[in-house]
Amino acid sequence: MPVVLQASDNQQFTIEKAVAERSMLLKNMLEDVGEAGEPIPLPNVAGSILKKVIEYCEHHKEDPVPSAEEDKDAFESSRRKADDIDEWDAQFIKVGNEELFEIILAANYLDIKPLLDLGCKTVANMIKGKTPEQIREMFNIENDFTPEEEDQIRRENEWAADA
Amino acid sequence: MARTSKLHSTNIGPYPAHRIQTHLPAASHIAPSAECCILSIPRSIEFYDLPPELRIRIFRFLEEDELRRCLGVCRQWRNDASDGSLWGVIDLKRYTRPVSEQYVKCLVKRAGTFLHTANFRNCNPPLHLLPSITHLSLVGCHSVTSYTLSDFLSVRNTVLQTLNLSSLQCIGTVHLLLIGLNFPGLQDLDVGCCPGVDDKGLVSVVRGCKQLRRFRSPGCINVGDEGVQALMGLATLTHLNISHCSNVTNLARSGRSMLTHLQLSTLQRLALQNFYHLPRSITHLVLSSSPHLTDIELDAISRLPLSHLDLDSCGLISDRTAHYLCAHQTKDTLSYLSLASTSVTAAGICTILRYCSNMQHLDVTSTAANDSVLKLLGYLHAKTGSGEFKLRCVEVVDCVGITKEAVLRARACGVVVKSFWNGEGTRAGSGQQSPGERQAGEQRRRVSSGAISRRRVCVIL
Repeated sequence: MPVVLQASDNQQFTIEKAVAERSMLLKNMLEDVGEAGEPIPLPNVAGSILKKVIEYCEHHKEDPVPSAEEDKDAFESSRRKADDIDEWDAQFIKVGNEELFEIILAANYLDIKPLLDLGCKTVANMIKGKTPEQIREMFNIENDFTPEEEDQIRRENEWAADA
Repeated sequence: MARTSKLHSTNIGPYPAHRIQTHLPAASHIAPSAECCILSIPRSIEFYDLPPELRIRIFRFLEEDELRRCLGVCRQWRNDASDGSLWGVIDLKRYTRPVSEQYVKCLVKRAGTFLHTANFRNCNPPLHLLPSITHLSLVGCHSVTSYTLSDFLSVRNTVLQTLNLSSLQCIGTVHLLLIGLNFPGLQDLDVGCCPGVDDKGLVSVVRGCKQLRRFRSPGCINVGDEGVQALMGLATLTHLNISHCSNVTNLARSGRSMLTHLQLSTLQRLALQNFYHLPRSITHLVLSSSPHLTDIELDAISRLPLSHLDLDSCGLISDRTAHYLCAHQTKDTLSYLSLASTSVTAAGICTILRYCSNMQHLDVTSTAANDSVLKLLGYLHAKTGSGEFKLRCVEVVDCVGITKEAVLRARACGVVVKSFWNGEGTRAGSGQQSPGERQAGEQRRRVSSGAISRRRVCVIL
């Protein structure tokens, strides 16, 4: 039984149930409402992004679903690794900043943990090895620190740098 | 600072009310033109459009120094990246030089109640700020005084699981009493090389810490039989290291022991009869530098299901031990064995290579191993093929009986021989010789004054 999704711009996508179930939100919804066949409205996701998300779910439809317990453990260990992205995923996530953030938001909304992590890792990897100035440039951020705050940051970095 | 991670927005959509929320106080982040467009034309999505829990989720993939750089980007980033949950682990082991006290304090404060694991190696930790830590190491924190430590240990902490106090000179009986009193959840305690550790303190720890699994007190010369017997009676204990506790003469016999790892290195006064009654659960046993240990005890020991056995520098151990190890339980279970500096001969070593089917790493450094050992290795290697052959490494360092010719023959059979050096300047090694190795070699050459040429060989299969 296929599932029909309707994006915010009314675009409709017909996908396999197994693909839809990559999203915990859709999975729970389908369990609750049964197989009504009605399109499921997703007013928070634009068609272009939903298309991209579906592409990801299609490719990963065979993956084992991580158990809730495992996911919790992985999340709670306070530092996590960002360098274990597989080749297909790396190609898939090669998009502009704006699209990347949209994918992260959509993955969060649809509750697709592996896609959310892929997005977050990608942003983390963009941050890595950059100076605060370079980070500001990359994400269009204005430096709004007061001179006193700047002073404190400088001092803190000095303390750490004696190490 | 720890507040933000508690904010779990219920999956509201990608462009929900938080956009307005987050932008109001931080309006300066958006270009003026974009600010007025929020409600009309769709504006491009920026980092700020991610809700706080997602921004923190991203930061969770960064290392400490990268996270520190994020603190200097702007106010909003500083606020997000300061979230306590991102700083739950402090590991000063990573730094080669001592870290300034202010910075350590700053890290601890930032983590707040999220701090669960801290290694304060070589610095002065703010112990009064750690009321609910789970794993704590104070190795090398020599500025910790008896007084500050008592203060810390006086505050009850039921979640503390790991405490490493090794080589702190200030530790005394009173500290162990406090540990027994206030840390009922402790599972792992290391008080190695703390001269003040004594039986009275240990008995108190055993009485109070009913979940203790690992205990290490190597080099504590004031630990005696009473303390060790208390530890051996602890049903939860799996790892015990009392090496170099030179006053121990007797281990208690305990029927309900769960011990799997036991280290009894250099216990010169330990009575030999103890080796007949070791707990049946032991899989890792270190008995190195036990000068009185004989083959007869090994007859009993080889009936334990050992996977790791270290007999380094047990001078009375001979080929009979090799035969016992191949005749009893250890034949199928041993994967690591050190017979370095024992009296075994090439015949005993060959027996072990032939019959201990699970052996992966054999150390026969400074023994009478000779060319026949290398010959057998070459034969076994060629016969079984490297795939199913379990043996990975044989250390034959400083064995005078091994000749250059045998090394060459073994190589021809496909055996990898690492760093062969025969003391006369003719090195047939593969790979670079490290300066330390060279120095050691030169020293050895001087000692042997040219009469005996020693060989360094490490065989990798």
